[in-house]
Amino acid sequence: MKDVIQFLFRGRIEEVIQPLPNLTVLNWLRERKGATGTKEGCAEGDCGACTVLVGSLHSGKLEYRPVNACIRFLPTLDGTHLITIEDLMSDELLHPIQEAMVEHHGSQCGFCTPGIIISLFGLYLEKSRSNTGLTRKEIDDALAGNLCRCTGYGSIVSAAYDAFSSKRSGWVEKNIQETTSLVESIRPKKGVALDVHHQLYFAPTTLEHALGLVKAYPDATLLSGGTDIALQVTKRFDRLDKIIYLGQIEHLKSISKSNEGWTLGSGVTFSQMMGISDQIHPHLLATLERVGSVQIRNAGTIGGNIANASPVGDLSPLLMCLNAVLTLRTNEASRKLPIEEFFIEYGKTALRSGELIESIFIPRLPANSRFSSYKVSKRHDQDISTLLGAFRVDIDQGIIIKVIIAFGGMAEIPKRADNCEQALHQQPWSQAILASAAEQLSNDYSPIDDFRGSAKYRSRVAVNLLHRFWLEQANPEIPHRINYYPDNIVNDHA
Amino acid sequence: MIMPDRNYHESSRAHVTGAALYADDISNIGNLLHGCVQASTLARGTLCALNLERVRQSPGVVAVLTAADVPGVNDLSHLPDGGGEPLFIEKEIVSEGQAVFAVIADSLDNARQAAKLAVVEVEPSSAVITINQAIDADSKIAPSRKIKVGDSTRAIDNSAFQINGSLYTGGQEHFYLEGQISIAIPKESGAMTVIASTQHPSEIQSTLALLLGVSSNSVTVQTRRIGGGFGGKESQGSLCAGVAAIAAQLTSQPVKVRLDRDQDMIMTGKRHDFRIDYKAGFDNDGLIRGVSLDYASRCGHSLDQSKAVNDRALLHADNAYYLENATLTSHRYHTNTTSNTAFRGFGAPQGMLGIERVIEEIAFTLQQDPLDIRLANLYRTPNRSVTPYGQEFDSKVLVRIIGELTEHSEYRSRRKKIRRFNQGSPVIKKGIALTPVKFGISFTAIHLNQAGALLHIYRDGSVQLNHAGVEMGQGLHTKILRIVQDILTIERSDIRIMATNTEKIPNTSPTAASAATDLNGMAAASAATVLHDRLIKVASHRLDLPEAELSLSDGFLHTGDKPIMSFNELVNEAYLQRVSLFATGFYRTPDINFDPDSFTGSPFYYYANGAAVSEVEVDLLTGEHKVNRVDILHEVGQSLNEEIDKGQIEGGFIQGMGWLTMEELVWNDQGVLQTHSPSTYKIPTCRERPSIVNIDLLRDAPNQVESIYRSKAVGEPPLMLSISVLHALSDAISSVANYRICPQLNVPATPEHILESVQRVEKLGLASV
Ligand SMILES: Cc1cc2nc3c(=O)[nH]c(=O)nc-3n(C[C@H](O)[C@H](O)[C@H](O)COP(=O)(O)OP(=O)(O)OC[C@H]3O[C@@H](n4cnc5c(N)ncnc54)[C@H](O)[C@@H]3O)c2cc1C
Ligand code: FES
Ligand code: FES
Repeated sequence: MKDVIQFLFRGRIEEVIQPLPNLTVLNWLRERKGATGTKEGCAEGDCGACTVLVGSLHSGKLEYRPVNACIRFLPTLDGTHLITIEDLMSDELLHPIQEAMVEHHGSQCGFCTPGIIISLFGLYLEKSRSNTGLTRKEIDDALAGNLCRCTGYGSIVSAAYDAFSSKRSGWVEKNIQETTSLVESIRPKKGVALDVHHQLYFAPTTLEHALGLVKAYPDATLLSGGTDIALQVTKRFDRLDKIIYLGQIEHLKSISKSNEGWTLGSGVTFSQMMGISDQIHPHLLATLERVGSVQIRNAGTIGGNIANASPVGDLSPLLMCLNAVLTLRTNEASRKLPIEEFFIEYGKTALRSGELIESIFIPRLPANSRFSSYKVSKRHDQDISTLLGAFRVDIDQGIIIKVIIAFGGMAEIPKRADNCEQALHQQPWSQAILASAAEQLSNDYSPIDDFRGSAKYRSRVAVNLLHRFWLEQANPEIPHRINYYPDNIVNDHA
Repeated sequence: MIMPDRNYHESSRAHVTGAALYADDISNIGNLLHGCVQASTLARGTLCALNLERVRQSPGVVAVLTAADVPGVNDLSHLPDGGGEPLFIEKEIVSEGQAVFAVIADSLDNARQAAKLAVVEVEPSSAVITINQAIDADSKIAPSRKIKVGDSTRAIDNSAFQINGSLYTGGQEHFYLEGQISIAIPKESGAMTVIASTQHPSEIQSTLALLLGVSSNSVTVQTRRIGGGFGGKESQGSLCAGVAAIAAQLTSQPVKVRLDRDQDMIMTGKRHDFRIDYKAGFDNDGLIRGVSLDYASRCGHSLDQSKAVNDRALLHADNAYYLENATLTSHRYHTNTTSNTAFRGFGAPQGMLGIERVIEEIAFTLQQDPLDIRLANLYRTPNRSVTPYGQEFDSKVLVRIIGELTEHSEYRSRRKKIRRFNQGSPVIKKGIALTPVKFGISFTAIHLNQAGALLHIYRDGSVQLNHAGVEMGQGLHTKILRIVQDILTIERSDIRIMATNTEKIPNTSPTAASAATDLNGMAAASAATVLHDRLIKVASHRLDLPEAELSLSDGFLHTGDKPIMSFNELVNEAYLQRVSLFATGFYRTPDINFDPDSFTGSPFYYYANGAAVSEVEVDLLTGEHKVNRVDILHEVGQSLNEEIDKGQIEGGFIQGMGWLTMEELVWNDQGVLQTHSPSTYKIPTCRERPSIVNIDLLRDAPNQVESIYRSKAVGEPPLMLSISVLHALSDAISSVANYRICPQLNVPATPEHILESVQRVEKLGLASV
């Protein structure tokens, strides 16, 4: 193991010996490097002012993804390329995005601007690999994690259209070959072990090594994307004294497909999952797209989402409907557990000491399955669910032969609607049956009042979501959801 | 490389490269200490004991400050009649978020860790949190105000129809992207320089003088730019500045105090929330015969700017409508919550919501298009042109705006189309509404309507421009640069705009009330004109030509069309002739007056007008909604910078939309704010921006009064264009009972509130069939 991390920064390899495990990339940039172009607006991953680009190798290809520097610990950059706003100009020449932001008055107070530009730059790099024109949805998606309080976004949207129509590329795009080999040269082969001011940090590169560490340090914090756990440091000002970082283990990031279904490593990010979700079911994407923002989905992992066991975590209800099975591993053994058995009560899961989530298996849905899920929150993007309903029925000759209904936000854990399911099982698939089964939801859940919504609202909407599930299956030609992108609006770049 | 055109924001290149420095980015300050303020978690009670021993012992801690350490007066209120707002709690706790103590340490992390070690003993007592509790407890913070014209009671009683009801509007967190921050740097002989993120350097200066027990000439406050203010940095900056300055004085080291986002949202004031009770009488023609509007607002634990905010609410209770018989009352309540403050619109948005609801109620009663009720009630010259407070309002421009907008937006035909759509769409309902805005420009505190500028020309012809306004993203500096540039006819790159600094311009007014360009632009123009005239005189002397034959253009002195010498040569010539190359400019707004006691006068130099049509769709199953399209026609006079003005319009609209639809402040029963970070308090993202946004500036409409370039102020008025969204939502909701019942939608129209309203309308609809 080594006590130094290496990453590419400003065109050269930056070596940080014994970095503080709890030091965020944002604070390192601002306080240690005087690189103040990257801003802090919230320190919790919600505003995007701190957005930076992290380039890492995926099967030999360098992929750059925007992430929130405020909730990313510095040591996790080992073996990557860090790009900040200061990197975008080359030879005094503004990048097309920067230029367009000037010309379209895309900045007012300017505080959000560096983060916005980096997010758009992430999209720019992604789009440079495809030949399709930029859509308003792509812009909205890219900026879902970047708040601007001044502009109302219009000038930023026009700047994006303008910049993306330019074919000029900056140095990042031009130097991708060279950079790739540089990043290749610092690929972490050995794991990292740090002991700084009594803070321990391990970044093993193999699962076996990780399991050994988990056994040796049963009280250590497992760190994946950090989009939950880092907030303890940046919001509560706690210190994480022992960290085992799982993000350098290739095995945990793999996705494999068989005749039975898909196996996703626990370290698969939401972004990665979105890449294959259509294969699992075309309706998954609409909900996955509403988890956090691009930055959060680039960092946040599915294992972290499950392990976190939040009552409002978005993935678990979906996985319940899909009959997902977890593989839990210790140093000695491995066991399989259907996902709904993982959640015991608030803050308590079936995960044992010394154990971690290795992977999630999602079986193929039978052809007669109907599946949909709906996330409801105050704001469409980057908001935690007030509630989320996931619905699945398998129908044979008009009879419901299998039914799974699961909700987030309705109980202290993600939970199935047993009574409601029972009322539907082996019944005809009809509106009347659904309506009467919906009444059972009040026996299944007694939700709470909080600032996201009252118990009354949650209960009412839960019933309505089941109704929507019916409506969408029964009457697909009528609009049942808000249409963000009506056909007649191609783009507003007049 | 693109040449920054003079219209681009003066800092845009620095913004997009990350080179623009905000207070927290200034890194070359030696020995810098960091402060962390610890706030009360209790809304009301007594501070019984404060044990800070372990805090002092904690690593890196240099000093710990409490009320006892304030050298001067422990008060931030900055009001002559004493608002009573201590920097640090002494004994009595009156709100969550009041500062209890501060830790000063060698790093922010050390300060934060140390702060956690305090033992704070408090004794809670019963708190007044909500507006209804305050009304029940009759906990007034200031006397109520009333405007009375005609006899509203009689007029209402004698009308064919009467309506009444209540409307709640929530507050709003500013959510400037750059949080509150100040850096205090001690100088020799007791002087102090403070770099502050503030809209009001002079107020920070005088507050610090009081806190430190020194006179104002010992305190210098400077601000180059701030990362958004929106009113939230008008008075709220004194907290960080105060702690930093006291600590800097005590330790003789520079001190930075920056609130983290949660503290910022918990500790600083917000937009006032209101309950508005309305009663109105009208006849078949929809004309309001009499109206009574009662505004009750939650001011929080101290007065701050609440009087002026509530005054402005009353002064906009009419919005665009002539009220013949009206009783407009404003009650200002003390609550044990954060002290509410200025926020873009400054009470006017809440003021307008009341009368717009009345209009809507009339429309539902008479089964007419609300636009027709609006048109019927609009101010009209000559007989229906006097506001309730006695100022004449010429509605020609507004009538023109509404007419043009109705046509361009195809409001009437779209409204029909939407109704047809709704008939075939059981779950998704659309709605549309047009609402006007008439907003009075000028500070109602008449004395604030003044500004200064200071212009230096150096021997090489380069210019430094100082004025009293703060750049907070609104493009103020860009506009003022243009004004000076036009007069001196030099390149923008030859003029350097300086940080706003109390050393350069004293006794400045806050950058607020939309008036910064009006005031500072005039002051800067006056300074530039003085120097221009001096230079012409110098040339006339040197060339022995009459002044009338000489002019400056394109950076050259000309006689007729012939360039004679460059601006730089001319400047040097002036220097050699021993002519002063610096000048001040001063401006005071003419022709305004207001008597706050009788609530009469002509407080506004002019009005800025606009109107918007919004179209929305609502999901009846969840209450979620989306704004599909907005068409705006807004008046900016002769624009100083069209792109910047449009940016203000769009930004204001979206910000207002956030307030009206999604930004929800929730306190628990104990008065503890539940939504104190962007994870729980949601402002609009890019996707909330309507799919179609058409913004037009009203053409050929120069300001009728003499303003800078005949332009009009644009900062605040557009925010209220968003009221059209609320009314469009209402239109969509009312479709569930065939447009017979007024949804009486409260603000913010969150999915939950929309769904509640849908259920209510459905129920009443069934009952009335
Ligand atoms: C701004 C923001 C927005 C968000 N929006 C959403 C949202 O819309 N929907 C939503 O569901 N969530 C949301 N989240 C929460 C979070 O992003 C997700 O829960 C994410 O999936 C967590 O994954 P992670 O890899 O970042 O987990 P981490 O923070 O690294 O870890 C989370 C927890 O899981 C444990 N853990 C991690 N990996 C493993 C493993 N392999 N085995 C066992 N335990 C493990 C950790 O010890 C920790 O307790 C949001 C978070 C932020 C900051
Ligand atoms: S600072 Fe707000 S997301 Fe990082
Ligand atoms: S420009 Fe001010 S927050 Fe975006």
